[in-house]
Amino acid sequence: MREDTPQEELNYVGKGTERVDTTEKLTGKAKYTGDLRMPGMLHAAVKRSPHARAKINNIDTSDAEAIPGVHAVVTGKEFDYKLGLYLVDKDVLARERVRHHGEAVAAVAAESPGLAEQAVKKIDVDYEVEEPVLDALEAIEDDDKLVHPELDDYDYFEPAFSPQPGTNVANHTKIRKGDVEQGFEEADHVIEREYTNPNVQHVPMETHVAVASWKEQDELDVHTSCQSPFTVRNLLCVAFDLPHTNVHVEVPYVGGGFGGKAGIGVEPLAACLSKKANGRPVKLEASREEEFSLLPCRSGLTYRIKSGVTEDGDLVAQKMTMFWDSGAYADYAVNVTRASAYSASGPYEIPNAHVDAYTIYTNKPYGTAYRGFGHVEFSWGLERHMDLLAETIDMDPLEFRKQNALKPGSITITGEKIVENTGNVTKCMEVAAEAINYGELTPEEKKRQEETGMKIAKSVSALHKAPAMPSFTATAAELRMNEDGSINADLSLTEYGQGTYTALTQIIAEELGFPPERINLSIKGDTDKAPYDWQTVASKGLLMSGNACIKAARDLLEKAYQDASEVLRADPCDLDHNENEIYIKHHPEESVTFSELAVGYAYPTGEGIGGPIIGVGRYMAQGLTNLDKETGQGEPALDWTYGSHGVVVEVNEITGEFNILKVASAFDVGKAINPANIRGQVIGGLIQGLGTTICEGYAYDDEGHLLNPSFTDNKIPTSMDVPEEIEGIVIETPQIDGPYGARGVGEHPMIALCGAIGNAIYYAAGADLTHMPIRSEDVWWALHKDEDRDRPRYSIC
Amino acid sequence: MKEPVKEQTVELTVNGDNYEINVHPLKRLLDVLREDLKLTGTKEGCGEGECGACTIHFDGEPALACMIPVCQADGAEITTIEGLSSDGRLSLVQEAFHQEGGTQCGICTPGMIMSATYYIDNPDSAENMREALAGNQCRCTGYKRIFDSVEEAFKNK
Amino acid sequence: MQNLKEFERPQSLDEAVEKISAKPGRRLLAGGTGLSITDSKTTIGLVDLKSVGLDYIEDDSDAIKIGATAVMRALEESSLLQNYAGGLLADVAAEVGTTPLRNMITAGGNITQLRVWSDLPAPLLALDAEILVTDQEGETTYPAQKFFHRHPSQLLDDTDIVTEIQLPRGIENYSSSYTKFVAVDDSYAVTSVSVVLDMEGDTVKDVRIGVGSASPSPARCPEAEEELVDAELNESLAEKVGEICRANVNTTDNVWGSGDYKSKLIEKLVKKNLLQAKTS
Repeated sequence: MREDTPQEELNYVGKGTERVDTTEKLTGKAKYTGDLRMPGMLHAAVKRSPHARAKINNIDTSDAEAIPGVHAVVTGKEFDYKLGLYLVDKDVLARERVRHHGEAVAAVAAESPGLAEQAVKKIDVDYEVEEPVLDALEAIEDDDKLVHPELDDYDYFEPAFSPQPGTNVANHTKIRKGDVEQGFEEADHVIEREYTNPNVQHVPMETHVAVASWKEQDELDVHTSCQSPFTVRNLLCVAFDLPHTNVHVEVPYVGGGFGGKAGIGVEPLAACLSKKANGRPVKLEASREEEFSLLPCRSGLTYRIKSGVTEDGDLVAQKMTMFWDSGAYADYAVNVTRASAYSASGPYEIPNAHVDAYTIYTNKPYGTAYRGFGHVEFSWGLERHMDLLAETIDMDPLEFRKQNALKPGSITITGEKIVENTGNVTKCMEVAAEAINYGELTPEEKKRQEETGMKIAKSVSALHKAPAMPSFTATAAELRMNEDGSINADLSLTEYGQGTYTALTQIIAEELGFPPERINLSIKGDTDKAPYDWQTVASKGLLMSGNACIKAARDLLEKAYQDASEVLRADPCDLDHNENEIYIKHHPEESVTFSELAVGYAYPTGEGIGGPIIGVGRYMAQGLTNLDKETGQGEPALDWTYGSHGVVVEVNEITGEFNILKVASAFDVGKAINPANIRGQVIGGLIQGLGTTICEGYAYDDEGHLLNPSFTDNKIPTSMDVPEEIEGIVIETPQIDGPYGARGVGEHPMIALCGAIGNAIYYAAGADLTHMPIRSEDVWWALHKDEDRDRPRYSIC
Repeated sequence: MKEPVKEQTVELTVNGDNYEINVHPLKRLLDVLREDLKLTGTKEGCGEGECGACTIHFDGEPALACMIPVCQADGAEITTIEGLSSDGRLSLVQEAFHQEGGTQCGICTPGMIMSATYYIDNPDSAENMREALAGNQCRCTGYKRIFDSVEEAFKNK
Repeated sequence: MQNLKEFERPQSLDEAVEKISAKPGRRLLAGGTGLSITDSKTTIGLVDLKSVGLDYIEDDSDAIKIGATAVMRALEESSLLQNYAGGLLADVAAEVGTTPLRNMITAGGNITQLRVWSDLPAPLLALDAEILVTDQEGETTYPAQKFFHRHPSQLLDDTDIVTEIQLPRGIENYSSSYTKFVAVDDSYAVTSVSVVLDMEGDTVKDVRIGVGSASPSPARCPEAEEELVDAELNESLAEKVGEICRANVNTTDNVWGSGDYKSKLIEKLVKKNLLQAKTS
C-alpha cells in the first residue's frame, strides 16, 4: 500500500522518529510482569525432573503441603489439560512420565519465593528411570522407544502437518519440484554433505513470568510476559475449556522474546496453581536455569544436502533432508520444519528440488520458535555448501551465488513466481561485497596480517525468509480520536524491543497527516480492550499491522470527513485537511477543527451531530494457500525479505582463535520506515547471530542431562565481542502489498551469518567446519581432524 | 514454617533516602530494593552475577545487587536507576540513551545506565567503553547504539 | 542456606576467629559472589569478614601484603602491585570478571574457592607467594605450592581464616607476562599462563611458570623451569619449554575446552609468554 510514494512526499515515514517506548525504560519506571505486586499474591516454584526419561511411580507432596504458608501444591495427575499450538501433545505438568531433563512434575504456590522453593524441595518423586532417546537420527529409526506412544490420539492442524503415529516423527513435510534424479544425471558434479546445529537458548534478558488469578465463576486473569496475547488467551481457553469472554490476558512491558515467548509458557501452570489456591494471584517467574531447561529452546538440526552442479556453475538439482530434533514436544518445531522445508534451498533457484523435513521427538528440552525460525540453522549448512560447490567447479563463490540467485521470473521450490517487487537478493550481495572490499585484502589488512601472524579472509553469504504463518493470518487496528484531536491507537502486537510500535506510529501519523507526538499507540497488550492479532512473530508485524493502521487511519478520516461535510455543507470530495482542521479545498477559510469533531460536533445552537471518531482497519494476508502435502506446491509466503552478509575474519592457524573484524550486511526491506531503528534491530540481530556462531548452545551428557543451563557456562556476546566494524545497509525494492512498500526484517540479520563466518575461516586457515557453533577449539579440531582425535567431550551438540 | 534466622536491623541510604528495615540478613540486596523498598527499576537477569541487569552504585562503585546479602549493605549508600533522574528530567546519560536509541526491550537498561554513568563520571576506571560495559549483557541492541549513547553522553558532559 | 540461624559481623580478626570457632556449622562470608551457588544445609551461621580490616594492600620490608578481603579492583589499581614483577598480579586481577564483579570478588575468596573465575592462584604460584591462615591456635604460613597442591578446602578447616597473601621481596624487578585464553571475550579462562622471569642479557637467571584453569589445581612447571635456568632464551628454547610444560601438566576436560586443546594451548602460550616476558 502506497509503495510508490516518493520519499520527498513523506513527512514522517522514512525519518528517524525517536522510539515511542523508551522514557519509562530509562528511568526504571517501566513495569514488567515481574515488577507487578497484587494483593494476596503468592509465589510459585516448580519441581523439575532430574531425568531425561522416566516413569513417575509416585509423587509425595504431603511434607510440602504441611508447611505453613504453602497454599497450593499441584501435580500432573490432577489435571487433564493438554496444550499445543499445532499438535496438542503437552500436559501442563508431566503425567505418568517425564520426557526431558527439567520438565515440570509438580509446583507450589506459597507466601514467598523462598517458602515455595523450600516446599518444592520437600516434594518426593519416585521415578523409574529409563534410557532416553537423545539422537534425532536414532529416534527416527527407533519405533520401540517412542517419546509419545499416544501420538495417534493427539489433535493437530491437519491442513499443514503430517504426524506419523507409531514413530517419533511429529511431522513430515515434503517439497517436490521437477525431477531431482534426472537433475543429478545432468550435473557434472554431485556433492553430498551433512551439517549440524545444537539446541540454542533465546536468552531474553527477562525470563518467562506470569501472574494468574483464577477467580470465581472461572474468570481467569493473566498478566504475562508474552509475544502473543491472543494466542495465549486462545490456548488457555482450549486447554481449560473456558469461554473466550472468561479469559483476560494483559501484557505489560516485555523484556525480549526472540520467539521464546511466541506461544504459551508458564501461564497455564500459574493458572492451575491459582485455581488450587482459591483464586489468589500466583506469580510464576522462571529462574535463568529454568529458562534453559523448563522452557523451550531452539531445535537442533541435522541438514543433509546433495547438490548437482554443472561446470558452468548452474545448480541443477538439490536433495535436502532435514532432521529437526524437536525434543520432548512439538510446540512450534513442526512449523519450523514446514517453514524451513519450503525455504530449504535459500535464495537460489533450483530447477529440480526434493525436500524431506522431519520433526523428531527426543528426550531433550523442547524446541520452539526462535528468531529466524529454522533459517539460521539450515542456512549454516546451505551457505557452507554453496562455497563447497563453487570450489568444486573452481568458481568464485559470490559469482556462483549470483548466477543461481532468485530473480524476476524465477520459480521457487514451491512453485511461486518471483517478480520485480519481490526484492533483489543480487543487489544485497553486491552491496555487502563492496562494503568489505570482497576479493582482495586492503593494504591495512595486509599489514595487519603481517603484524599479527593471523590469516585474514572474506566471504559473502545470502539469505531469504518469509513469515511462517497460517495462510489466513489477520490483524486489526483501532484509532480513537481524543477531545484535543490527538489519537489513541490500539492493536495487539507486542512491543518487546523490536521497534515496530515506533514505525506504526510513523505510519499512522503519515496517513493522518498528524505529527507522531499526537499519536499514542498503547504499548500494553490487553485482550479485553484491543483488537485481535494472531501473534507477534515471523517478521510480519510491520507489514500486516502497518496495512491495518493505514486502513484504520483512512477509516477514521472518512468518518471525520463525513461529519465535516455536514458541518461545512460540502461534499467530502471537496474537502481536504491539515494537522488541525478539515477545510473546503476552494474556500480554505471555511473549516472545522478535528478537536471540534473529535467526540461529536455541537452547533452553536447546542444541537449535535456525529459522535466519537473511531477508525478501524483490518488486514488479511493476501494470496496464501495451503501447500500440497505430497509436493509442497503452493503459495506459502506473505513476502520474502532478502539479505546478504559480508564478513572479514582473521584466524590463528595454530590455536584456532579467530576474530571477526568486520560485518557488513544488506537487507532489502522494501522501505525503511525508521532507518535508525532498523539499524538497531539489524545490529542486534547480527550480534545474536554472532552468539549462535561463536559460542552458544546446549551441551548434554550421555543420560540427557543438560550440562550448561546458566550464563556461567552458556555465554552470550557482550560488548567485548562486537566486531570493530559492523554495518547494516538498507536496500529498498518496494513490496507492493507492504505499507509504503515496507517488509519485515526482524529475524533476518541472524540468518546465514554463521555460514559466512564459517566460509571465511575456511579460506583463512583451511578449517573445514560442518558443525556450529564455531569455537576456537572447533577450528583447531577441524585443522587436526586427520589426527584421529575424538571430538571434544563437552562439545555443544 | 518458622523463619529459622533472626531478622536484623539494617540501615540503608538509597537514592538519598534513609531506611531502617528488619530483614533476614541473607536476603539479597536486589530483593530488598525490589520488594521492601518497591524500587523495581533494578532488574534480575540471572541471579548469578553474570548479566549485570542488577547493577547499582554501592558506596559510589558499581556492584551487583543480586550477589550482595543485605547484611553486607548495612550503612551503605546506594544509588539505583530511580535515583538518576530528578524533577522529571532525565539524567545526562538517560537523555543520551533516549536520543540515540540505546534501549530496546529495556531489561538491561537500568544496569547498563548505572555502569555507563559510573564510567562517564570516572573515565579512568576502564581502558575503554567496551570494557566499562562488559558486565552488562544486552540481547536486543547488539550494543552499537548503546556505544553511540555513551559517546553522545560524553560529548554533552 | 535453609538452616541458617545466625549472622555475625565481627569487627576484628580476633573476634572473627572467636566467632568462627564458637559453634560448628559456621562459615565465612567475604565478597559474597559464591553465595548464590552455595546451597548448604549444614551452614547454620555466617561470619562476615567485611569489617575485620583485611582489605589492605601494603608494603612491608619483608613482603607485599594483600589482605584477604581486598577486592580485585583494589589489586588492579594498586601501584604497589603494578610495579611488582612487571605488574603481573595487577594485570591478572584486571581480567577477573567485569567491573562490578571486581568490586566484589576478594583475593581470599578467589584463591580459596578455586572456581572457574579463580585466576589468581596460577600467578601466585609463579610469584612464590605465601598464604597466611589463622585459627584459634595461631597463624600458619603456606607456600603457594602447598596451598594449591590440592583444592584448598582439603587443606583448610571450617575454622581457618585465610587472612593474607604475601608476595616475596627480591623479585620486584623481574619481568612477567600473562595470557588468559578465553573461548569468548570476557568469559572464563580455558587456560591461563603466567611467566615470571629474570634475565641477564639473553640468559635466564630465574624463571617461574604457572598454568591455570587447565587442570583441577593450578600447576607450576619445575621441569620446564630447570630447562631454562642458565640457558639462552630464544625462540627454539621457548618452543621446547612449551612442549615440556605441555607434557607435564595433566589437563582435564570441562565445558570450556577439552584437555587435548588445553595442552595445545599450554604449549603455545608458554612459548609466547616467555618471549614476551623477555622483551618486556
